Amino acid sequence: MAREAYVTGVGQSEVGVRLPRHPLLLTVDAVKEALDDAGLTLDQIDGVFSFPGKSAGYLAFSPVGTDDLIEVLNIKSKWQMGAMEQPAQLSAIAMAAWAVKEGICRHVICFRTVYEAGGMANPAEYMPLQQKTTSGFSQWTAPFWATSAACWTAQYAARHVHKYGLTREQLAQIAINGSKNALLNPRARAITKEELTLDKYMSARMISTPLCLYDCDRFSDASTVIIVSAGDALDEVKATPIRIAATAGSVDRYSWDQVDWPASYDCGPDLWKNTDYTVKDVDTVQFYDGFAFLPITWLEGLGFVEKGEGGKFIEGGTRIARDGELPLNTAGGQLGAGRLHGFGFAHEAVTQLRGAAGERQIPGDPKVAVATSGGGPLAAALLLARD
Amino acid sequence: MSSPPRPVPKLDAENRAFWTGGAEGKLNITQCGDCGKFTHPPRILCRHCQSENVAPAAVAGTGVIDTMTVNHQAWAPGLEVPFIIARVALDGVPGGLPDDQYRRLADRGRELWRQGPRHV
Repeated sequence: MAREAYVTGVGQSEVGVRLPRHPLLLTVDAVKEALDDAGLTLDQIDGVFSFPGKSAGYLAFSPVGTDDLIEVLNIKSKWQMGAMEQPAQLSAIAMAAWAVKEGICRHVICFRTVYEAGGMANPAEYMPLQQKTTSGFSQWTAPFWATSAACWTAQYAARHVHKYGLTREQLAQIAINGSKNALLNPRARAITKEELTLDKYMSARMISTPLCLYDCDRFSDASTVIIVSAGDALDEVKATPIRIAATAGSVDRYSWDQVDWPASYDCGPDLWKNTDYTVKDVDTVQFYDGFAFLPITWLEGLGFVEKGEGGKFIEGGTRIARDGELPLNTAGGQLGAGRLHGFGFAHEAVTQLRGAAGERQIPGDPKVAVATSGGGPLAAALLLARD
Repeated sequence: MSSPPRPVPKLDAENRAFWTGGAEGKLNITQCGDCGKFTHPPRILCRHCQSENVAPAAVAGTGVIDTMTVNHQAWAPGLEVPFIIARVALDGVPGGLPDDQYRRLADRGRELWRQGPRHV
C-alpha cells in the first residue's frame, strides 16, 4: 500500500465560455471541491503539480502557476512542478504519483486551468502579441500558415484516410458520441446544447481536411483538480480511492512534419508493461480528443484494436456508447464538454469508477479505466483501478 | 483581397541556410560530413552521430507528397483560403515517408515549397 498512489479527490470549477470569474478563482473553486471530495484540508496538502505551469507569454493557455496556488492558499509544499517539457498534460499526475510513492509528498494537488475563451474576450491581457517574425518551433509552421494544431493533426488523419480508409462518417461518431454524453453532464451545458446529428456533421464547414468544425474541441474557461495521495495516507481520506495502476508517456520530435504518427502509438505498449491488467479488463476509456482523430490513435496505440482498425471500431457509434462494449469519453470529451486540456479525462475516469457519474454513469460496476492526454509529439496515459 | 504577409523566421546560425537558400533557388538541408545523414530542422550538430561537422547541402528539391491537408480556416485576418499544406518526402534525403498514392501530387508540392522561402 505504501508504494502505491491513489486519486483521492477530484474537483472542477464551473465550465464556461468567456466566464467573468478570474482563472485563479476558478482554480481555487476546483481545489475546494476536490478537498471536500477527498475529505482533506489544505494543511494536509504538501505538493502542487501542474501542466504546463504559468505560460507568461500566452496566459489564456495557462494562466495559473503552481507558485500562485502555493501563495494564495498558503500551502506548505514540499515539492512543486509545472513544466511544458513533459510528455503531455496527464504527466503531471503521473509525476505526482511517483512523488507520493517515493515518500516525498503525502497529498498532492494536480491542476490544469484554461482560460482560452475568456482570453479571447480580453486579448490585451491574455493573448500573445501578434508577431511579424517567428522563431523556435513556430518557424516550421507559421511561414506556411500551418498555424493551428488542426493543420498538423489533419496531416496524420489524412494519412489514416488514405492508408486505412478512415471515413468522415466514422470520424463523425467521436463528435456525435461526445455531444450525446455532454448533454448528460451538467458541467457541459455551456458547451453543448443539442445532440449533433450525422447530417449536421457532414454539412459542417471544413477547418483543415479531413477535419471539420465538429472535429475540433471548443475553447473554454475552467479548472480541473486531481488530488493524488500516498497509499499509506488513505486513512486520512473519506472518498473511495482510485489506484493509479500504471502510467506511461512518450515524446516524439516536435517537428511534426518529420514523424510518421502521433506519439500515442509509442506510449501505448508502455502502459501495459508494469501491470497485470490488459485491454480486456478496461471498462471505460477517456481518450484525449482535442481533435476527433486523436481517440482513434489511442484506440490503436493502446492495443484495443489493430493499427488501422480504429475507424471500423467506432463505426455506427454503438461500441463506444455509454452502454457499448467500450464506453468512450462519457463526460462528453473536449468536443462535447470543452477544451479542459487533458485533465477532464482523469476527472471523468475517477468519477465513473466511483459510480458517481449520475445520469451518464455507465452500467456494469466499472472497475478499470484508461485516461489519456496529448496529440502530435506528446502523449501520456493513466491506468486507473478501483480495488 | 490579399493575404497578410507571412510570419518571417528570425535567422540564426542554425536556420539561415535553409531560409535564405530559396533566394538562389536552392533547398538547403543540413548534412553531416561524417555520417552523411541529414538533420532537419537544421541544428548545429548532427542528430544521428552528434558530429559538429555539419553543413548545408543543396538537395534536389523534388519529392513525394507524404500527406496533405486542404486548409479552409483563415488563421489570420484576410488570409485567403483554401490552401494546401503538404508534407514532402524529399528525394535523396533519407528518413522521409514516401507513399506511392501521393506521387501524382509531387509537382504541386514543389510549387508550395518555392512559395515558402521566397517570402524571407
